[in-house]
Amino acid sequence: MWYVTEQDTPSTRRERLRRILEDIAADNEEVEPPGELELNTSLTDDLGLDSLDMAEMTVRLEDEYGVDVFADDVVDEVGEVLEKLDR
Amino acid sequence: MTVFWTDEERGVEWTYERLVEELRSRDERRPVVYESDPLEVKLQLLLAVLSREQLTLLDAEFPTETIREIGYDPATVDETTPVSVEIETVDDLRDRLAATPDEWRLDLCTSGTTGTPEPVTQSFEGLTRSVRTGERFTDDVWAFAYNPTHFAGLQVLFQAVLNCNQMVYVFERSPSGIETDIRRHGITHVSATPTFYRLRLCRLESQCETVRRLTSGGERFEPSLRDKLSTLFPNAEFRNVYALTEAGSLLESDGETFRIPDRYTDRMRVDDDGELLIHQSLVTDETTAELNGEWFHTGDLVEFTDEDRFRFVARESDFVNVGGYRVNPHEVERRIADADGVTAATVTARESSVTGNILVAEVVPDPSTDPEAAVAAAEEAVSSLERWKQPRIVEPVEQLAESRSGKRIR
Repeated sequence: MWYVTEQDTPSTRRERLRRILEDIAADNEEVEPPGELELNTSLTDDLGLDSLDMAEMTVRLEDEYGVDVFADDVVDEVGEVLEKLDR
Repeated sequence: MTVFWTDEERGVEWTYERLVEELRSRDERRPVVYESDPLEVKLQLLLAVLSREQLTLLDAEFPTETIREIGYDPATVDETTPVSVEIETVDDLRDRLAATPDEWRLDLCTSGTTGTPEPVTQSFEGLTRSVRTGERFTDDVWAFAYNPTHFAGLQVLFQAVLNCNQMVYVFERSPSGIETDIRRHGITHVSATPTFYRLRLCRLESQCETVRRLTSGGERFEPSLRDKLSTLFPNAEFRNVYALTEAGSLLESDGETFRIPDRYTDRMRVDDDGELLIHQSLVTDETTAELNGEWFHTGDLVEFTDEDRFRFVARESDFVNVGGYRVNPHEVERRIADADGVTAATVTARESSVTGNILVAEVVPDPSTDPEAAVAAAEEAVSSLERWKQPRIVEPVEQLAESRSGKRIR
């Protein structure tokens, strides 16, 4: 079961991803708060997400958009994640 | 005249005399029972035992697809066969039940470990191993709090019938309905799953002084739950039972930990992996139980709390893999359920293409606790665990998802 609660546009998707990453950063001091997301921001190298953080991000996105962004290949940059959600 | 069965939800009350009359008057019975009416399930079971004919009990919760999977045709399961039960009195009923031969067999299904129910064959001895009869049991009044086709429910049925006790069906009742039933009928004994205690009986609004015994089993029973129940049932003794569908009741305790009784020291043991094994002589289901040599692997893992006492920590199949780590969701669930402001919790594995699984939790806040505070308390309760054991998503819910059997859906 998944649903989108607000108007679904590229900018709302980016904002939603930013909020999820903020939540993850709030729970893990190793993760940098995302600030303004750039498309080439690396989730692992720039923000410091580890596999569990990535798994949480993926599950939360899947709950909202019905897309498993890691289903087919490894994604690491913000732009790659948003591209998966665009499909 | 003693009442046999009360079901306030359906407006039904039968005495034992009415039961005998009904059993005598039936000229047909069903060899396979797939039935949602709890009283009819009991009648069919008693007809089978009294006529010494085999019976198969299918859980009414099974969808028809499952019925097909386990080898039955949903279109023909209600077929009947002639029966004649020659009993005149309630004493005849009890005498004939007590004289059930060793050869009599009942087929029932366990929930299985693969998701598909597995048929298990039971003898009357296995079903009634824990039944006690005698003068001191004559005034007992039972709350019947199980799915009527489940093993623990059958044990309550025979305990009650062999002592001519009243049973009050509370399995489908709300907490307030249960409270009314306890007061109206003077219920003295309750046997239920820990989940039923957590979600229903812990929500009673005032103390119930008539209840003398609370019995549970089937899942871990945390000490905090027992504390809550002690307040609501101040006169009740507590009994925790470890039973297997394949073997009947095996261990009893007044708390969370068990010890192997002297009579079973040669027939029960814990192996090097912490799994409880029982000797084949205790297995009543000789047809389907998987034996490894002389020993049956229960799949239940224990940890010792001192030299000879242990507690159950998990079923072997309950472990999940999170990022390469083997994790027991029950361990995490236990911590969260014990947190202040949390009434109940469930921790489940959520599939992740990143780490295989991650844990997620649902918590039911205490009525006086803000949902956000309950979530914070849950997160705090697991903050000292390894990161892969910490639920990554904790959601407050009004109640945990549960099946009709009262078991939480995982």
